Order: sequence, then structure tokens, then C-alpha cells
Amino acid sequence: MRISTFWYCIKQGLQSIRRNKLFSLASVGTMAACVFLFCIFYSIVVNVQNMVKMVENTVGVTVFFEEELPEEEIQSIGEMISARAEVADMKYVSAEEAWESYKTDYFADAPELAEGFAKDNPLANSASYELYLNDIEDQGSFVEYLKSINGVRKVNYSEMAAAGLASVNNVVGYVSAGIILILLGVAVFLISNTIAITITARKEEIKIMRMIGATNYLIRAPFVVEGLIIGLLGAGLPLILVYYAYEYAVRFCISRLSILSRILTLLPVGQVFQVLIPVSLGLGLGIGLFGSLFSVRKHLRA
Amino acid sequence: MIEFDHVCKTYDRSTDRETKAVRDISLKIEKGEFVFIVGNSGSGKTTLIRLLLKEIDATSGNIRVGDTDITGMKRKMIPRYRRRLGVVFQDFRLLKDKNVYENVAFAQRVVVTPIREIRKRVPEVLSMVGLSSKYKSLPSQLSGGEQQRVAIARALVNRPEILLADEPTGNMDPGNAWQIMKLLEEINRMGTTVVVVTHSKEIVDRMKKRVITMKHGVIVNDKEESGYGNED
Repeated sequence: MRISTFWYCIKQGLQSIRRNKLFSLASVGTMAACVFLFCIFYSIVVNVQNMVKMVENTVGVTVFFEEELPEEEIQSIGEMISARAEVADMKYVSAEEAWESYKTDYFADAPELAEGFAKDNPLANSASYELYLNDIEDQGSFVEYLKSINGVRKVNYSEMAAAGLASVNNVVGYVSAGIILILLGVAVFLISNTIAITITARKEEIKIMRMIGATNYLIRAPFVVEGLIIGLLGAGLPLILVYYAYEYAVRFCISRLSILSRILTLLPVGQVFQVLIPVSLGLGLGIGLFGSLFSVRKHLRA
Repeated sequence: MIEFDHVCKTYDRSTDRETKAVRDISLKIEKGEFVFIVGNSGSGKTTLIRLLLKEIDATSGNIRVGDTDITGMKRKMIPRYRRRLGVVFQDFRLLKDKNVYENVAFAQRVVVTPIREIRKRVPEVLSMVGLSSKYKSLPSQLSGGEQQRVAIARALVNRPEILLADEPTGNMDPGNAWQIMKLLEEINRMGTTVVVVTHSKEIVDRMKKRVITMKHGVIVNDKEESGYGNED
């Protein structure tokens, strides 16, 4: 394609948008709403996922054993548990290690107090396994399994974190996918309608072009360009908006909600937008292309 | 140059009431000829032009233009074929929001002519049709005769082998109509084959060219240097 033809198509596409302001605006608006929601939901889902991951890594399940259970027995139970597919990581904590860790956590300021227990470990019989799961969603059933093992005295776990985060993430995922799908449909419909209106407005011009011997490609290309521009604008505008909003949210969390920083840490803006920018622009261009091609095929038969 | 061989065109084949627009037409137009096609409304003149433009397909028979058999031509090849033709209509079909220069340049732009060539060629044809001084005017600022000159310039700008004119003087007073005919004659003299469909008896009689007369879809008369409706 010649450069001048390329510019001709771009110019015609822009001209059509200018002539057909209202519908173009409606199409860009719907597209923007769609991409905006996509960005918002993606940001939520990816951050919740990140928090779930953090919880999975930090909130573990601890298994304690019956008093006087022989060491070999504990070991064989440990081997059985670690063979399970749900287990990501497992660590044995002996009674002595448990006491050492407790001491550094709670008697760091007054080690002399802890010395009183030197010969009599208060955490005897507290040998345990610390387990980290691959997927926190499996925690419920896995805990049931652990409790059913002979010799297990107690299983410590955090129910809230597991059930809450996992289900919130699922609900957000499904709802956002549903809304985005509906909006995508509306965007395709609006873009194809906008293009159809442009085609009608330029019917006479198209007739003349055909008569003169313009190729179908050259007749159709400006309409596809129009769709692509609408898609690009519809994706670009919300991206800019969400970028600044997200950046603000990250700053807000750091400065005002630092107390919650262990739970509520937002992913850095660069990491989220590394995915959002290409996906949103691809979405915009794809919808623009699909909508305009649909309309061109319907209204501009060769 | 143009050859119709037993061409029929029937509209509405799907319904019971078939309309035969042209029936068993055979004719030859040589390169460089100037031909009038005359006849009443519904005689099939415009169908002939539309067949030549490949806007519609013949129901049967063959049409050749130069070396090309356009009857079975693939859709993809039609644009390239149409570039060999220039077309002028009664209603001019100019783009209202483009000025004279842009209307003519548009025809070159849509067949992907380099800008440099457009800048050279458009003033040439505008001068040929006598509109050099009005290149910035919008169609609405021109008379009917001038608008038709723009349409002719647009038809000529891509150097067609054949110029087809469908009632080119239909909306004009006799003075303007005569000038347009003289312009078409001039174009013909420079080597372009010209086919004019018209109702205008006065013009046909004065021009003394070959006249093909059609009636109810058939050619009833085809004579050199003839007049309107002269049947031997």
C-alpha cells in the first residue's frame, strides 16, 4: 500500500468520526465504559489474588500430635501428609524449636524470665508440622483430613482468611466477566451501527468510487479505520483514567492505611498496567475491527 | 472495441413477471467511434450502459471490451476493468462538499495515483473542459453545464479508452447541451471512443454520427451519420 493511500484511509476515517460526532461519541463512551470496568475488575482480581497468595504463604496449617506419641509415628504421619498433592511446603518444628521461637518472640526484652524455664520446656509435647497449601481453597477439606488422622491432637488454621478471600475472588471474577461480556456485546453493536450510519451518509461517494474503479479494499478501509480509531479511543481514555486512579489508591494505601500493610498491599502500578495496557488496547482494537468489519460486510457487499 | 454478441438481460427472474430489458442484442462499436444510442424510456438504453459498466450481469450472451470478455469476469477484476471506462450521468453525481479540483482529483486518488501525477493531470483536464478558473468553486456554485463539465473532467482524468455518457444533457438548456456535445466530440477526436445515450432529437440530428435506435429491448436501427429515429 502506498503511503498516500494509507493517509487517505486514516484521513477519511477521522473525517467520518467528525461528521458523525454523536454516534462516534456514544460508541467511544460504551467502549470506554467496557474497558474501564475491565481495568477496575482486573485490578481488583489481580490484587485479591495477590493477597490470597500472600495469605497462602503466611497463613499455614499447624498440626499438633497426641502427648507421648513416639517420634517415629510422628515422622511417618509427616511423610504421609507431605505426600498429599495439596501441600506446597511442610516444616517440622520440634518442641525445642517451638520454645526457642516462642522465647525470641515473647521474651526478647527480658531473656532472664525465659531462663526460669530452661530445664523444663513448657512447650514439651508441642512438636508440630507447619504446612503451607498450594491453594487456600482446599484448606477446609484438607483440615478435615488432618483431623481424621490417628495421633493428631489439634489442627490450627485460619478459617476466615481461607474461605473469605477465595470466595470473594471468585465472585468478583464471575461478576466482572459477566458485565464485561454484556458491555462487549453493546460495544460491538454500537460501533457497527455507527459505521452503518457513516456508510449510509457516504452512499453517494461510495457509488462514485465504485463507478470510477476503486477497489473494494480502498472503499472499505476507511470504515475499518474508523472502527479502529473508535476502539483505540475507547480503550485509551479509561486506561489513562484508571492509571492515575490506581496510582492514587496505591499512594493512599501506603500513607493512610499503613497499619494494614501486612494484609492490604496493592501491587505496584507498573506491574498491573504491564498487563492492562496491551490487553485493553487489544480489546479496543479488536472490538473496533470486529464491529466495523461486521458492518462493512453487511452494508458494503462487493 | 465493444462487442455485444446475442446479449439478453432479464430482470426479476425469481418472480413470475419477468421483464426483458434487452433481447438478443448484437452490436459492434469500433475503437475511436462516436455513437448515439437513442430510444424511448424502457427501450433498454440504460441497461446497455449498466451491462458495459458491469453493474449488472447479462442473462445470456457475451460482451467483449477490447480483449476482455467481461461476461464471466470475476468480481475482483471489476474495479480494474472500470478504470478503462469514463462515465458521465444526467445528474452529474459530483460530491457536494468537495470543490471542482477535489472532485476531479478524487477520481485519481481512489485509483491510487501518485500525488505528483494528480497535481499535473487535474489542471490539464480542467483546462480541457474550460474550467481552469473555477477550480475552487463548489458544485452548488456552478451552472448545470459547468457541473457536467466537471463530471466529464472527472471521467477523463484517468485517461479511459471509452467514455460512456448516460443522458449527459438531460437537465440542460439547448445552448449548454450543445456545448457539452461539442466537448464530447472534441474528446472523441483525441482518440477516446464515446458512447452517448440520449433522448435529445435535436442534438442527434445536428451531430450526424452513428445512431443506434432501440425499442422494447431490441435494436431497430443502426445507421452511420444518421438522425434521431431515422429508419431507412
